[in-house]
Amino acid sequence: MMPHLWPMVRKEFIQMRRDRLTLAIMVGLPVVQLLLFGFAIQTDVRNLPTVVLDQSRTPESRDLVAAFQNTGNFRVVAHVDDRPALDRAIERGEAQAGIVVPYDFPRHLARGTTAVVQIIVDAADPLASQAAINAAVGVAEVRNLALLSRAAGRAAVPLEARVRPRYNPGLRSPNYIVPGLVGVILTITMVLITAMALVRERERGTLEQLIVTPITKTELMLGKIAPYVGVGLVQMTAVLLLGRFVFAVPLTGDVVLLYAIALIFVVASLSFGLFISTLVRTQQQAMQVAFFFVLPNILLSGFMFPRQAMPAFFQWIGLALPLTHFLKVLRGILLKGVGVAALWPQVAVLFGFAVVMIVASVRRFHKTLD
Amino acid sequence: MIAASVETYGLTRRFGAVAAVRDLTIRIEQGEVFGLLGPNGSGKTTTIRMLCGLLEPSGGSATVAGIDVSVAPEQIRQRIGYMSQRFGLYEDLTVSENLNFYAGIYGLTGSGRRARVAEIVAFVGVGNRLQQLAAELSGGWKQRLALGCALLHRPAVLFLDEPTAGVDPAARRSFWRAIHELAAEGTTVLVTTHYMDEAERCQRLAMLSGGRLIALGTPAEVAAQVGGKTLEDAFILLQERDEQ
Repeated sequence: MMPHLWPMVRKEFIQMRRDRLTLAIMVGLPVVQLLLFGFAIQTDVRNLPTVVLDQSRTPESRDLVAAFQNTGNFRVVAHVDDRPALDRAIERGEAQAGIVVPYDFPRHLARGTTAVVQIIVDAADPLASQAAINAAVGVAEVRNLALLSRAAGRAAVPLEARVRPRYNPGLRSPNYIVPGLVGVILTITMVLITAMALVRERERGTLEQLIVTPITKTELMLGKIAPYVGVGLVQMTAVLLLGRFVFAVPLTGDVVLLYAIALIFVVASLSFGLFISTLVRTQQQAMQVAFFFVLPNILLSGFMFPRQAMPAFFQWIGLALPLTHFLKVLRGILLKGVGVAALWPQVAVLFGFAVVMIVASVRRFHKTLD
Repeated sequence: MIAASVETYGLTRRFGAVAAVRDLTIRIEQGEVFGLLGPNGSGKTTTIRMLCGLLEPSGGSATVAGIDVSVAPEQIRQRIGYMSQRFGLYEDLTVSENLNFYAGIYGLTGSGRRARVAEIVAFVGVGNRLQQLAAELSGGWKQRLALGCALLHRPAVLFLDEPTAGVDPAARRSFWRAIHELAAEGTTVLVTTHYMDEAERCQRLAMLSGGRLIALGTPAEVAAQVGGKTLEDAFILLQERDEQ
């Protein structure tokens, strides 16, 4: 069965070994990307620079400002004397939040009427401001409860919601980003490698010699894919190890299962790249098409932005990307520790994608020069 | 009667509106060294590519080693050897790796492969350069290696597309000696060239011009048919006519 496959795989291995630059990129890329994404992407914004306009200047008002600061979301950088100064600070970007405590703050407290404290947040970046807004609301609620309970003469509050964020209790960004990054890096490198594979032989003139031999189209395609499966798994190992030891990302579930499914995903990505290779005429075109494919993978797969927030149409597009399904596998196994029982739909989709792409590539490819 | 090794009837290939090969009918016997002669763009390469199954004919028919190229191109592969005009082997593989790769692709395994590769290494004389990368070889050595790779599976028909372009005279001479040795053993050789001394070494020639067959026969017959005293005269006459 497939007698010409092994010589083809051997040849690809030798060529891969000789191409030092590409090899260095394949190993270096995951490391660089992981460090970049891992350190740079922090979606939980803390320590928003804050200016305070405290018009009452009383122990109560100072206590309140301290409470805001204690949430960790606000970092007081300056105190100002009037409202225009506060607005200027935010306009210039010296501060991204302002806290205004009015003159009558202690009087309202004493009388039991509602005291209004203004929190101004620069919400131009919704991601950065969201945490601060939530924290501000939280501070007020906690204060209200304490004041009301005291007024009602109760020692305890009637109801408390105890939220327990499961699977990522610290709500740490790396726990979310690093598993996703495994999938993103594999997508970029695997698709790009095989997208170049056939056109490179065509451009160098070696394809002409190869296709007058009895090698079958399937052997040719599988021979182009096989050596890079190993590369993909090495890349994944590098990212997982760095994630574990540099970013303390947990490895909760069954690692063997993860590698088994990753193998299918890698083949799916490689075969998609190969399909690109059958569509284009030059390596440059191959590169362009590959990048065109990579972008929606990063944006729509749920790697950075939650898919639930997307309009239905884009969710559908996302479903067509293998990365979307592999991300569920990665996060499922690494963070939740779930098994194959929960992941078989993803496995089925990835397997189907790989098969369809290989068949499509074999069909598109002709052993002629036309 | 000797069996025809390559036979074409009305073979035609168009690229869009342009016919690169028009209505070509030739018959090449087994063990013959047959030359396709003609200026650039006369249709030599297109003809060879159709016979190897690399291009589909637009019209007419062709059989190679008894198999119709349009019907069963895959069955032809194991019976033909092909040397493309441009060096088609892997420059980032060594001489030995190229030979072993093609031996494997042609289905040779184990001790049979080792023996055959050793035989070919001796035949084309690359024994001292086995560990050298193909990229580092000079034109003459590349050509020997390419011939070697095309012969590994003992093809019945050998197609050589301008095999000696850019090769020094000494290397060309030894190359032609090898070609005649192969033909003597029964291999049919179809070679394209525009070197006159090489055309003279062919048993028969087909002269092409603008995709048409304009003369067919021994070198002397072809020269006479075109109207020159020698083959070279004939060729120059033809080229001048084409360029007008």
